[in-house]
Amino acid sequence: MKPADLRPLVSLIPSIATVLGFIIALQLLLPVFHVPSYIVPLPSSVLSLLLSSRIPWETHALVTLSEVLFGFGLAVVFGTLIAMLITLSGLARKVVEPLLVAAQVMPKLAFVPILFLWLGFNAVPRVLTVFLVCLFPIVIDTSAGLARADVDLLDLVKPFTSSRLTFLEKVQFPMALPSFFSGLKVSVTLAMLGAIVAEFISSSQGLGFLIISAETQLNTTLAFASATILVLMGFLLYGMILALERLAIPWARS
Amino acid sequence: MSAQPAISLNNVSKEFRSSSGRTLPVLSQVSLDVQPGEFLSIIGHSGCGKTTTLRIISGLLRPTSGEALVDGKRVAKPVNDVGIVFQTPLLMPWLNTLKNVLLPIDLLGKDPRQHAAHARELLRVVGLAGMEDLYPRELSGGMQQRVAIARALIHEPSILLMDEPFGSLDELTREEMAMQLLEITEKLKKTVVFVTHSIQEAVLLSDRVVVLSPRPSTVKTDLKISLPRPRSISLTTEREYLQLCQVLRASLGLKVALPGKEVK
Repeated sequence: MKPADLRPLVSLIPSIATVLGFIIALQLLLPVFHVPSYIVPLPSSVLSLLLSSRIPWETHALVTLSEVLFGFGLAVVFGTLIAMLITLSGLARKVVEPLLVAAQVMPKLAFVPILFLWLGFNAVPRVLTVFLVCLFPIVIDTSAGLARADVDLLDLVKPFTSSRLTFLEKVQFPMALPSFFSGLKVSVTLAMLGAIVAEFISSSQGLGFLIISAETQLNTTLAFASATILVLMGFLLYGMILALERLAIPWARS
Repeated sequence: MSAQPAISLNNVSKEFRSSSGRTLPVLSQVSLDVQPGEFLSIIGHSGCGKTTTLRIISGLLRPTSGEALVDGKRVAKPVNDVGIVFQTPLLMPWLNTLKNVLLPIDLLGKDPRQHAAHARELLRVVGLAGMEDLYPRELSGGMQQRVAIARALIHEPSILLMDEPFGSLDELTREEMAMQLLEITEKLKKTVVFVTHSIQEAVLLSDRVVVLSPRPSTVKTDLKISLPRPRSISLTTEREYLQLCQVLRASLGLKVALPGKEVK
């Protein structure tokens, strides 16, 4: 690895040190103040639970991860299509935009139980929940990005092609990429939230299932351990999108 | 003069409708011929319809009445026999210099690779040889506008329309660019319509300068600039050049000062 490749890692040192310092302080101070483990578990017991084979972590993590990825993936596909549609057609914008805003201001997470009623107690409502929370930021950011290619650029293109699709492909799409990626970054964090909430309502597997069942048993250690995996998973997903962004739009790097 | 003008405007009028529903007449009965190979500058106060005139010639805008002809053909839709340089470079940030120049070829559905040599040649002409691989953010404002000029020429239009191309550049770059444009147009023999606010630029570059009156605009002055070519910056100190500038100043309603001589 070249020294330049290490720079992003080096820049993480202060935040990693802060987190580690916090964990070590907890480990040292919790026994001093006699804090019971059902209030705040010792970091060392969280760690040993994470490393033990008592909980099939991979299975639970994979269940949640696949809900997140399916819902998020669908939101990326449909969100981009909706953004294209409302960019190309003023009528479509008039039809879709109020619906989209209504869907966004509606307390979707409170309606997750109804999704289960409608669609059965299986993975479909969980994926749908993720999809619904992800859709809005993707549509809004992508259509804002597509709109960045303004009238001036249309004037530049018009003498050479009258095809609206060519303009979309050659100018608007590349122009929209930075906004598209901001939408993805917001969405992917919401996707995790959506999956966990849906698992709270109904599930037999997954990290959300682990957390909600740990809480009913006052097993705070298990809840913290599950949350730790969720955080790591979030970092992984966010990091993947950052990496993809760097690959896709090297020209946008400042 | 040749029989058929490269560009003709016949009694072109243009009205815009404001958001409050009022009609705003911008051009009123503008008639103008530009001969093949001629460099014509259009000058006038802000908002007098210079850009509107260019947009009508390029077909980006339809006149309310009258007609625009390019090479004798009525302009009904955006035409690609013209190359346009806009006020801002409008480069694609994700394309390098070479690919930005080749964008029109790509948009026309032709193979950009077959025109790469031509694009490199144009970049050399505008003084950007060796910069093919740089991205717009790595170029200065003046360099970006040079790329835009090369791009306007890539599909070999016979006419070049320039809408205050140096308007956003600093004074030093501006003069440098004007001198380079002088070289390019004398070499390439294109018909050029050049919109500018700068009297000096207009006189230095043009064969003819048209002054548009304030809105609704008509052709107020149509001044032949018969200074010899090839021209250089030394021209700007010559008496005839200065006199022509004063004539234009007077036509634009600016104060005129020429020692010992009143120009009206």
